[in-house]
Amino acid sequence: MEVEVYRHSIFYRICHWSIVVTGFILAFTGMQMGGLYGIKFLEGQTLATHITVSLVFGCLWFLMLYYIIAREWKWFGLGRIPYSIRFLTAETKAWFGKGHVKDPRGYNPDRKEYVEKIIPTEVIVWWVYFVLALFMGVTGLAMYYRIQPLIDFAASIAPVFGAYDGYALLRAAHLFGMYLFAMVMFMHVYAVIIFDVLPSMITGRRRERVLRE
Amino acid sequence: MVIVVIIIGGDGVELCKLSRRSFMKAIAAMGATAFLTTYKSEIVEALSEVKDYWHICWLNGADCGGCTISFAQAADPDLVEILTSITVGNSGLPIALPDYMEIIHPASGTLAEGLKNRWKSGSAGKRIMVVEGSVQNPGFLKIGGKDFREHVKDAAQYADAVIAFGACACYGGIPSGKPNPTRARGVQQFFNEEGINKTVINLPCCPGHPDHLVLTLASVMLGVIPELDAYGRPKVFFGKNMHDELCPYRPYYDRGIFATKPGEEGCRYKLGCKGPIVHTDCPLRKWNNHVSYCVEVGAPCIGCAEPGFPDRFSPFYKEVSALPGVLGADATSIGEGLLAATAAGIAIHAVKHVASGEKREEE
Repeated sequence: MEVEVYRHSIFYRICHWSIVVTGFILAFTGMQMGGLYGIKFLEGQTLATHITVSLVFGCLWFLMLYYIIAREWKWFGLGRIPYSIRFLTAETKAWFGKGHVKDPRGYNPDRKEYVEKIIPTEVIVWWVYFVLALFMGVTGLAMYYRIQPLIDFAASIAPVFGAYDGYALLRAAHLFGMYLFAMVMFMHVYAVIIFDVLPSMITGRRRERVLRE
Repeated sequence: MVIVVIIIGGDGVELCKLSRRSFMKAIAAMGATAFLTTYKSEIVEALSEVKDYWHICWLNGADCGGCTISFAQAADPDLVEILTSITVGNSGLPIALPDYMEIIHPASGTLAEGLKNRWKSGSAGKRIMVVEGSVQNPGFLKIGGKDFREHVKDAAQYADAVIAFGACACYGGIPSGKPNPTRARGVQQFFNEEGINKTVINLPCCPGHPDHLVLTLASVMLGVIPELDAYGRPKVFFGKNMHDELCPYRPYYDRGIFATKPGEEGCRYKLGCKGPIVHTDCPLRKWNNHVSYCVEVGAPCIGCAEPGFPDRFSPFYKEVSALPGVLGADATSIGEGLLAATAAGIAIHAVKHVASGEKREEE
């Protein structure tokens, strides 16, 4: 038995898709600036665009963080990370053919609230995204504005990685962060298709399994 | 523009409208070439008022002699102008002529070694020691039967100012490249090891730039001690990041246009240009009578103005963000590997997912 539920607010959806759009602009301008894969996204000021959009991207992430804290903490709170990891472990075992993981999502129409709103691994995904966005922001802005304390810190650990100096390490870390971001994004995109939640991020509504505790 | 009037008096120099500190600031603001060209006559006038001859001892350690050649090609003013125009009063004697400079001076053997004594007997406070080339372990370089290290230690006792000219003298340079069998090192490091408590003004680059030396000598003679950075380099010459503040190819970088082989238009970053991590004013100053410099002729900056050159910047044609220390793979290779693994994982899962769906339907 299923029931249609209003799942995502308009604010959350706009925030999400704005992050997607700005994220793509950042990825392509970044790859153009890094001379990667022959990408030619803009003819004009690629760096200026990259920096400006990155600031918007950062603001959107903090808006989303605010929303998560204010409205969705029950589902995305840090306290759920261990549960999320356990679920991920079970998913991984299932992926290798050991056991089966039941979709825990469900809605209680009597109480008009979710019993479980998300696939638990989304908790990790969200926080990894946020940490990576923060990491990209810090490394990128440290390079652009030459934030000396950060460059000095990077310089102090640069020899461990065989990097030339702090700036070089920051640049490599920023580049590597992009790949990690893309990796999480690929998994995220695949997951939303598999778990059938993509339409709800457009309409805000989804048919949920009725689950009474 | 403020006209500079330099008046010499008493124990030193007083610069009307342009203080000692602002002398160096003006150089920083205008660039040394423009400063020299614009204020050459004022500097010459000021230096001409110095009543005593300045003594220079130019020592050559482990080096190729390129810095001497570079200095000989100084322009605006060139070496002839320096030696003929900047004189002690009306004496016709140059304000500063190296007493000892083994590549240039005609003397040789014991006669040449005797010139060092002339330098030592110069007026106290007016003896400048310039070192070109690095200092090695004992036994690798002997001049006049004496180890070069002893020459340096001996001269250091008398020197009122010590200038290391070129990458080798500053930080070891090419002679200090791996495996560095002679343990070549810079003069300041040698001083520290030997307990010689003197500050060395480092003027790196390979070779050293004549402008840097001419201006540093002029500033020392005028009593202006240039402000040094953490690596002993005058901030006026080495205080700016080449990539961020001076490179004429920066707009290409900002637009994501990269040269992939020498000769192509575009930022040299992908060719391995070390500009983003190098502090020098090469793009402003240029070389060979201010005609061009490494990046302008299509090559990447190889970081010769920085400590650790050349090993720290090798391979020269590898881009800055490379991380050779992580299992021989750089950030791009590792990132691409992770993405490929993710894509493969997703593909396998998708196939299994579809297959299991069909099986359920069949059931």
